[in-house]
Amino acid sequence: MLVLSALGELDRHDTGDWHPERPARLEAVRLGIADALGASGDGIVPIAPRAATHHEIVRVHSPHYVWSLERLAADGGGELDPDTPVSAGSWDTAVLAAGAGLAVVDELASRDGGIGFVAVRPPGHHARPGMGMGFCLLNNVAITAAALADRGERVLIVDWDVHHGNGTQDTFWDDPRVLYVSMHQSPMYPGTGRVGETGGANAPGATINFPFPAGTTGEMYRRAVDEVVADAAATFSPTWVLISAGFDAHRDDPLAGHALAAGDYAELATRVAALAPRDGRVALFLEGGYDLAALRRSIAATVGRLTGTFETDEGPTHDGPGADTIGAARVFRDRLKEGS
Amino acid sequence: MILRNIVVGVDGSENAQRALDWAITLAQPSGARVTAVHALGLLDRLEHERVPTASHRDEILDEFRTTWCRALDTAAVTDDRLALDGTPADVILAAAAERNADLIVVGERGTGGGPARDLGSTSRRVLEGADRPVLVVPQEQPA
Repeated sequence: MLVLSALGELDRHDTGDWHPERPARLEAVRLGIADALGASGDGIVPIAPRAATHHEIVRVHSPHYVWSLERLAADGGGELDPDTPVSAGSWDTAVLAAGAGLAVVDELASRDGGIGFVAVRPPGHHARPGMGMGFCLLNNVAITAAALADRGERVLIVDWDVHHGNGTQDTFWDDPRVLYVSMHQSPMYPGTGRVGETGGANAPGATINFPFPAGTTGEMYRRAVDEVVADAAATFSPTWVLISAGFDAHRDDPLAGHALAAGDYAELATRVAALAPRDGRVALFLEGGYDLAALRRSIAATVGRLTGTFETDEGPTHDGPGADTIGAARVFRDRLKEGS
Repeated sequence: MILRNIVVGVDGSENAQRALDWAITLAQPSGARVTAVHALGLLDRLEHERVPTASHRDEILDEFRTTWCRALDTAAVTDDRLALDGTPADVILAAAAERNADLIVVGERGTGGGPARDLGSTSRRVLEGADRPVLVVPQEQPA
């Protein structure tokens, strides 16, 4: 069962004709879900996105930034940086995108099982507390994680977008209630996410980064989970698992240089979902993914695997660089264990 | 006050060229080092087209070092040309801190292209975030 909150026609975030983070991405996601579950909608629990409240947003973002973003959109738009346009409809869309995740986890919490999927844009994981950036306005996954943490939950966020989720890392850098794990390409925008970035004084080890070189395949992503993240999660003992699910590490993506295939996302999803304490405590949040065909295939593979309805014929990838990165991350984990 | 290190933001825009010219002019009397900095974002510009940075990284680096920084080739100053991943304001401020710059020079508007508002311009965020003097070079006004 897929508990799905999709923006669909509520999407009013206009990034312009040239921008790769465009409304057609959500249509590719819709088609990928249909490939996995069939076009009838059976197997889907549709949840209407709701607007996140001011209180829910300012758990993560500064009131000044929230006010400024709302005003920028109300004035017709502008840009946060050369990558990140804001249109007149961006504020309303971003608030719904942030609220969709909250609605999904509330629905999951009231059920016995199911997989959550938050099919929204703009993406969120680059949005820092004080400023959006990198196509992101509000940090959707962080807003949901912060809400869960305030209810006493322990939240594991696994970010497999090919770019480091600097905004999510910043938000929970010193917060021991949230374990943040990122696998990403380095060097690459935004330039953060080194292996030595492991959390603040109050949350040592609550951040784990795998800055993989160009050309990394799915095997290294899987090994990162198997060899480092699984042990860290066992120690952390999460009550919820949220996935920052970007699909731009796919080999066809134009914005990056990793070499994953759709089947790698199915394998990753299996492993990461297994870190949750039970069924019904996993939700995926759409982040990047800019080749529409690859995005559709990757979504189908991921959702199909998690719901048991579809298997991709685009199998997982092997070999390539990246083993050194996993080794380095393990060294940092071991040092933290020795120091504790 | 003797200027020893000047950091200037460069993005291929005409305004950034004016900022670079000002940085060179200010550096020459004291022999200050000019560090030209370009932020590699998710997207960048080549020949006025927006392109994904990751797949054009080498071309962008070449364009930055040879074309956008051309004024440094003939200037009587020592220089560095740094291209770093991140947002323009973050990258400029980080470079200024790392180089212990006496002065940051930025153009009022770069290649962003959207309507100028009170949130969002790199020059404003540099001004807000800087702990050292900043020179903002305005756009050329029509005669």
